[in-house]
Amino acid sequence: MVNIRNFGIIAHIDHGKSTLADRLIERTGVIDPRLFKDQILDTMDLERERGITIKSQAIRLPYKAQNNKEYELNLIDTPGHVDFSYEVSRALAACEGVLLLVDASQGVEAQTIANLYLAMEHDLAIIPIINKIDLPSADIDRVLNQIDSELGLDPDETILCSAKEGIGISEILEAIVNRLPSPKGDDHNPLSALIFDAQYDSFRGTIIFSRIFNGQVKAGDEIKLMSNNARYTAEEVGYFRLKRIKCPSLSSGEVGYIIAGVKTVSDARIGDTITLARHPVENTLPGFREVKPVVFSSIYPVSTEDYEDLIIALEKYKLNDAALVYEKDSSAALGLGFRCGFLGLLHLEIVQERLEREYDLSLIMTVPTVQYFIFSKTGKKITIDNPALYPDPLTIEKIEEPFIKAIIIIPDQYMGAVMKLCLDRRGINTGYHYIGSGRLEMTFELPLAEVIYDFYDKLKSITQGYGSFDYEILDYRESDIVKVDILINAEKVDALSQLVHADRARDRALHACEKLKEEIPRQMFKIPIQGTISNKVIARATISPFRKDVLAKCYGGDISRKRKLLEKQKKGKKRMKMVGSVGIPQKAFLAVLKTESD
Amino acid sequence: MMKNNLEKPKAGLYIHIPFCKKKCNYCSFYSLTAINKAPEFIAALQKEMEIYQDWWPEYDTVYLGGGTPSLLSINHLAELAHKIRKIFSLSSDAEWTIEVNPDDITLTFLKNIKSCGFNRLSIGIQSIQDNTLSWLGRRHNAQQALQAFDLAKKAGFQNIGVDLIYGVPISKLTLWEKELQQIIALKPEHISAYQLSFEPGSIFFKKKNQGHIQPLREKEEFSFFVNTSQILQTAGYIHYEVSNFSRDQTKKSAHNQKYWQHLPYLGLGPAAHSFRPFRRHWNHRSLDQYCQDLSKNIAPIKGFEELKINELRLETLYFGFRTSRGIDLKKIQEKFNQNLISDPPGLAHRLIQEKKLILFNGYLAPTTLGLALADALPLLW
Repeated sequence: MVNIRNFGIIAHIDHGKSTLADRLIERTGVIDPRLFKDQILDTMDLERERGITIKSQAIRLPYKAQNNKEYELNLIDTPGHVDFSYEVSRALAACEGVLLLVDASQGVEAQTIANLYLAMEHDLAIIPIINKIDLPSADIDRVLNQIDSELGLDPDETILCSAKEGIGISEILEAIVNRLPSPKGDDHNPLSALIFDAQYDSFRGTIIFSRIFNGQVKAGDEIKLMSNNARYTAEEVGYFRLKRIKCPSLSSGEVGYIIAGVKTVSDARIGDTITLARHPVENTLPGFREVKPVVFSSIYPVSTEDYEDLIIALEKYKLNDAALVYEKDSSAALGLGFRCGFLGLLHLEIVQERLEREYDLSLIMTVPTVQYFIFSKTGKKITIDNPALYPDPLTIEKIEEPFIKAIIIIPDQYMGAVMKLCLDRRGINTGYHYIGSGRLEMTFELPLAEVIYDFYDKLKSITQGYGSFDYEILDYRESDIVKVDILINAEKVDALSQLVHADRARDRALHACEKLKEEIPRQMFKIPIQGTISNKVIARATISPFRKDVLAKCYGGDISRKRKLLEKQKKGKKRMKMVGSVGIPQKAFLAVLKTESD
Repeated sequence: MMKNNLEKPKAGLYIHIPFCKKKCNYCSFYSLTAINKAPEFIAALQKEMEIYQDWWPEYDTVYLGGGTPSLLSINHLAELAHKIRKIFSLSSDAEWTIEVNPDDITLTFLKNIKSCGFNRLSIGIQSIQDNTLSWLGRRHNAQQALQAFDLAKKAGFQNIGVDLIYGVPISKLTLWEKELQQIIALKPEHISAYQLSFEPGSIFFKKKNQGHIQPLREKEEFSFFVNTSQILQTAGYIHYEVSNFSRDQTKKSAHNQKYWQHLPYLGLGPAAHSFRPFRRHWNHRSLDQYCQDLSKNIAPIKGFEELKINELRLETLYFGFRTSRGIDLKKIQEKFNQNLISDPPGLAHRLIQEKKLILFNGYLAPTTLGLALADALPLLW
């Protein structure tokens, strides 16, 4: 165990985490460097194409240090987005230390700090690394300064590196060995193992990624998942190189996988504790919680005939994504579909893209919503995450919506713009302080609903890309939430209804009307589009009819071609969602979700 | 005469003359400038006629189109006319049309083609404004155009059609209206007024895609279309098809109407299309391939289609909405088991209310507003 090091790499997005991981894998000889580019990266590209990166697993790197001792370095990858902060926290819980990567030209960003806090919460040893020092725009002194003043870490212990050029890699490997602690634990204690990730394999079922804290597990053991007392028999244990490598047992301090006939990844919950059924541990590992979705949206197939395919696709997809929750939903306009819950907007986008790409579906998603608490006048509290379930406003006593705490780090010249953005989004500024020369950390309390809309894009644009952002859910607060309906040609399109704050209702309704006007093809008839609250029109737009659509010539040689053209148009029309006599293309639904692309 | 002749409608005969002195900017029809190949083509054409000798019992229209049929020598034209009569059975009152270009014709030439049996002229006037003509890439000028009409009259033609193009981006609605009045003053029996379109394969199509030509906006196109119809109707013309107007019922192009009523027509020459219930076939769009096939006595067919019931239905609607005669509701009910008035519910009445369609004598027919939308209407049913 003294020769084991379990570590992760944490970084703001694009600071070079993947490149450094590649370099460590290459340098420790897991892959022949000559084959590395040609073959391994190819397969990894393929994996990436499919949305699963090899390194989201945990890879075991054999390393012979300068002290001539053999070490087992377990690199545990962490997802790099705020939506997945719980998963990150569990991955970090499996480590003793982290490499904290900072881009030499970008410097410290919001996620750097958020990740640092996470690492500190887990009492991890931290090795600061400045990456991309080869860039012409690298400003090492400034970043060293930030590491000192903003992160409170020792700049003298910082390693300078260019993962791309292979500079500093040896120093990093030595630092992992020398500066990160070895795991503690005892093989003779009852088994206590943390699930920090799980992936679905179509041949073997769920592959559980686990860190053993105490005890041992081997094939044939009956294991127990402590959150729900589910029992399974371990069929195989092992560790990862680039493939799974079977081994007789996993012992305390080690990181590896367990295959135990667990059907779906949802049954192997991240953060749960594995123990042995016949000799269970008394206490679960700390930090486990149920993953709860915070953003909700309905998914419909563009073509109603694809509903069966969507069912199958979701079932298959769900095997590998425990965070997605869904249930049946139906819409008068869009037919049968599913109401889904996501960890955040990125998660939503990933799910949509993967369903469309991997299962060849065309999908329509409704406007994302958060979860509201509605208190009725009779004193009942209901939770809704779907505008369709919004009750009669007259019966509502009050509504509460979720708030988040947001940390935003910006160069100080953008303070005014960010302040305005957050206040426009009904935010409350709870503080700001300088964290280094010219850099400001601002904290806000914001309604989550405002953040899932287009907040991050806006923030990026007003700060010219320099603003960074992280958040956590805070609490629920009373709020004036109304339901905005959209009517196309006087027919309500239920799938376009949204729950919004009363102050924002008009803007959002107008935005939806105008986007629909742009995207719905003109027809022979005038098409009014209206946004309403309780049947009162608050926004409108009109699609003017076309009056001329005819080709001048139609003689012998023109007929077949023209008929084929008409047939094609007819098919195109079939792919649209018909609301009354109006065909609405899929992109119109998508456009309503998107904000002004200024 | 065979017995079933009485039951069968008469067919049209179309002959495509694929030669032009120069390709016009707007044209996407098949044509070449290699007029030296005319003798070879005329020979091939006669062979093709022989192949189709028994294709249909009787014909009542002949139409020489192109290309530029008036580029052929009078000897060639006489030879063709003679051969047509020899091979095919033609009604005595058959309509014989030939397309002519204003700059090709002389009084003698016109008299000669008249004596070949052609009784209807379609003159490619296109415009009587010099700048429009040169923008279109035509060979003639306005004066020649007017003179051609005059010569046709002098030659004794009593059924003269003129082809016009309007809506060119360099012109204006008021100028076009003035031009139209000048044409009306000539009192042609027939006017084909084509809104300029950008056909794939034409020079204009390319220029438009390169951004060198800005087509009219839909709103302007609509004004051109409606005003053209109104002016000609005021002058007494019948707007009987999207782009076609006739001075009275008898002066409609008998030949062109076959296309719009699923009546049989035999198309000879390269790229020509033929139809008889319910099969359509088309020839090679290459003079060389065409001649080569015929030298081996093979019909120079490039492709064909058998119309399925749905296709036939779509075409029937399409043709119906392009012609002021409209759609025979009873026929649609019988053939396709659809009541256009009640299925889908409300649609026909809505369009009637909006004055796009009218219901008349069992026909659902487009008004001028409806004709302007003729390509979109079939998709509503």
